[in-house]
Amino acid sequence: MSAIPGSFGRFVADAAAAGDLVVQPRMGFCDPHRMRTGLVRTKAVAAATVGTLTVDSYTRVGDLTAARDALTGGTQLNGYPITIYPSDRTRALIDTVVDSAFPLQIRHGSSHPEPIIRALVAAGLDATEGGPAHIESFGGCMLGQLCPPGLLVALSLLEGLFFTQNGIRSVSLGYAQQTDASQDEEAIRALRRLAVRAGALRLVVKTSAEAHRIPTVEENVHALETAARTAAAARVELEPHETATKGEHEDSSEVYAQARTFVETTMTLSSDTGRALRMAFARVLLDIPYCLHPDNAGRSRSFIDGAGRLRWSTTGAMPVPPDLTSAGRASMTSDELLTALHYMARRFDTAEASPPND
Amino acid sequence: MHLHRPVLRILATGTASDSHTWNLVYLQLALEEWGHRVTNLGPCVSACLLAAACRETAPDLVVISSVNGHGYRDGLMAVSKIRALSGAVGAVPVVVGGKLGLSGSPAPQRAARLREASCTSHAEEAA
Repeated sequence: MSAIPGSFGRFVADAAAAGDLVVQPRMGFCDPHRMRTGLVRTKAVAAATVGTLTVDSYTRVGDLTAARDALTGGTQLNGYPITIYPSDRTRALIDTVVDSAFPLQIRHGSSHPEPIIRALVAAGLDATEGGPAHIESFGGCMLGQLCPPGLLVALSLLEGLFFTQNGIRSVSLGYAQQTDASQDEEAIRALRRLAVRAGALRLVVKTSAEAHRIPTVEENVHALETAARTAAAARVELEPHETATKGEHEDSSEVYAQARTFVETTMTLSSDTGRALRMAFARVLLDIPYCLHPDNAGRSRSFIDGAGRLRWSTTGAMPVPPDLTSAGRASMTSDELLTALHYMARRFDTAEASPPND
Repeated sequence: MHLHRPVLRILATGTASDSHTWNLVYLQLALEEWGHRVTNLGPCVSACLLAAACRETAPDLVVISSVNGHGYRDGLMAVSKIRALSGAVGAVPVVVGGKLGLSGSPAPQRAARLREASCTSHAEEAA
């Protein structure tokens, strides 16, 4: 998992080596001028920043007719239609903004990203989820919320293994902030340990902290500076954990134990990680709670416990037990689901909100 | 109190360009709590896929949910495809709800276009 010189991956790795957290906004505008302004303002933020260009929904699903119709009809798209605009327009947009000190990542979330990747390469860019030179896993922020971290960590790692087996040399393993800070710390440590066990040569774990879609450039700039300040403060507290070289037996982390069980169970199915992942979902050994994909059994369910940690109420056929503290719990109702989804927002908006199951 | 309410077989779906899922999970739970049976097609369902699912399952009601702001355009295409189906299934009640446009308040002309396309009902949330 080494990084290419001058690339997005290299920038993140160098920042990590220097002890800086890289902060990255969610940002995607249809209008190239607005998009450029967003990047210029992001670059000027007083923190180690990288730029983001998020494509619009129609480009993501490959419906270029709909994207063109919307543009012709004067309708704004909800992101940057990189495959519709000529590559010259994208080059002009990033000219003198994107460089080795400010790399740009294209975010698309597409299951068929080939045209998007062709378009970004044509515009002289190198980084996105899904290649071409540097890949970031989706698993860590799967569904964003309500998935217990052990499974998120396992999926991120399995994705990383899948990418490396398919010739990608630079891979980021992502993890998105969940409901409880100490559980998140466990998750990041688990991800590091598992990646090192899996043979990562050089490792960068990027955390993302976001609760809402951030709609404006101004709010983005403010959020990035806040995130960088918070990270600088948090690093002092984290240092002893991060530098400690714990033996296997010393770490009784529940997140690590679960993540390791998921990874090992999956890896025993096949030496081909892609095949192992398909088999694991088919046999319901991996089952994402509340995920509606037809290949996902959808028999597992999660809840937020009294302390704010994400736990399993039902694990279906997965190789981990449901949490005993929740024995006899009924499934989450629609009202409880809304409460759980709003938990983070309420916690940060009011600071004193109590967990939803008290 | 729910004893006399008919149990509907409901097809819930996102729109072609919309990857949001929590709206669909919530809809399914709420509709099931009201005693109905729900088939949830999930996000990013094209009009063709939705029409095929209607033909296959002959639901009593189709519920289309939009969060990404393209609900009007995508919903219109979905309703048109369903209405083009032959037989009773082509007349299935279709409800579209959520954020139908990217910006501004609910637009009456969009509602009129949806009704023209024989959308049974719609509920538009202000962006």
